[in-house]
Amino acid sequence: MIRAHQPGSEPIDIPETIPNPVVVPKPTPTPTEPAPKEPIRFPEKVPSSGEGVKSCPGDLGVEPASAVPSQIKAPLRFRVISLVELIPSSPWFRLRSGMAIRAP
Amino acid sequence: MSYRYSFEDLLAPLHGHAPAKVDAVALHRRRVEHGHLSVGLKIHCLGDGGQFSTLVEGLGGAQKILDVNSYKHSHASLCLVLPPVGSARSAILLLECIEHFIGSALFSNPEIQIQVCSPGRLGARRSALLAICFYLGSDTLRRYTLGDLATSFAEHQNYPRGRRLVLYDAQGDFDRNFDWWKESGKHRLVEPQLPFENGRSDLLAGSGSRLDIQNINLLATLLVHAQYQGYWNQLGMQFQEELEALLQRHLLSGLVDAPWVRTDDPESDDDDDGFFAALQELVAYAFEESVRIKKKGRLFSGWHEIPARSSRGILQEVQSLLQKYRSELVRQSRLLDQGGVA
Repeated sequence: MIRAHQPGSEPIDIPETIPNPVVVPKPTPTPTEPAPKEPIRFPEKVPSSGEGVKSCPGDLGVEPASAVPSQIKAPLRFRVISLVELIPSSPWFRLRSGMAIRAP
Repeated sequence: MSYRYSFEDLLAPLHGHAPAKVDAVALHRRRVEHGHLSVGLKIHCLGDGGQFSTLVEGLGGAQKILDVNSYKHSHASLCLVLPPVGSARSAILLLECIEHFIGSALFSNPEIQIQVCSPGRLGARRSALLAICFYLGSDTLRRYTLGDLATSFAEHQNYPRGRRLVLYDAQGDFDRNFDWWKESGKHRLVEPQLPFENGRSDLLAGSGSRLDIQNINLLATLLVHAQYQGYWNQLGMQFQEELEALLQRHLLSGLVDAPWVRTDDPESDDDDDGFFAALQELVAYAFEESVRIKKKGRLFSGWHEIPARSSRGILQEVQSLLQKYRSELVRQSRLLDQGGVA
């Protein structure tokens, strides 16, 4: 600190540096260090609700739940739909979409 | 600039502490952005320098990399000279990498004085403009004593540099291998080497910030191109005129005639006092302006929304000037990249 003195007055502290009042600091985008890797989360085995359609985890590339370590099992956060709902030619789809069901 | 280690020697120990930043610096080390000048850095440590000991040992020891360089701040325990890089962005990244390694701050640290080195010696008048605009455009307003600007070369027998903000090189090592944008008619000619044998204009920024490095790089680019007919010659001349007019409006144009740099000219005598009187006048003006702005802020909470009248104050004007030329340089450079003539 530099101290300024004037006879008859209290000495005042004059700071050596002060922020420039008109400068608004802007953060410069710089590469950030990579965050520690989190374990990959696999969905648990998807149960099938459609009749006649059997779940086949191996075909979908999903390991059976029993093969997944317990610490990386995550609860499902999406609605489980069956393949029957997705196949336009299925009776369920035609019923839901108002299409006539022809007699076999 | 004397440093007896390679860039790779420096990056190797830093990599373990900041891998992404080190990779970015290594990748872009020689990349010049929009025709700006390359950037060299010197770190003067005013403390005991203990935080640098591991790094210094890793680079080969104090005798090899520190003692070889007789230049340093008079109050510094060590001066670490860093290899130059192609841009202010890389220079900032490099300092951040070192911060990660040593575990303490380099920016805005009163114990660390940053010297920013730019290729090309500026004449006396442009050196004055470099120093004045750096000071007013910084995010910190500083008060100085002459001792704050003393270096081991202040009274050097062969290269007396005096106590100044702007310092010339002492004809040491110089890395020319950075692109130089040259003007060729209306076209840009990119030369792979700088047109200087070893000339530099350094600025002793003191406790510096990222903005200081960016500002000094922009200012040096404009002024050096104006002096050496680089591609940004016209823009640099225009900037110089505007800055001189700004100083004229604030009745500060006389400051430019002070000896802001000690040149090799025998006429340039050891007039530290003449320089320091000018610096003190500038400092007083800037501090007074900052007080005015603060008062204005208290009286009118939304003062910044009041339309500017005759003058918005020198600090605000310098900020606007820097922003204007930073944007204009990048705009013209992008036009070039799109195939047009800037």
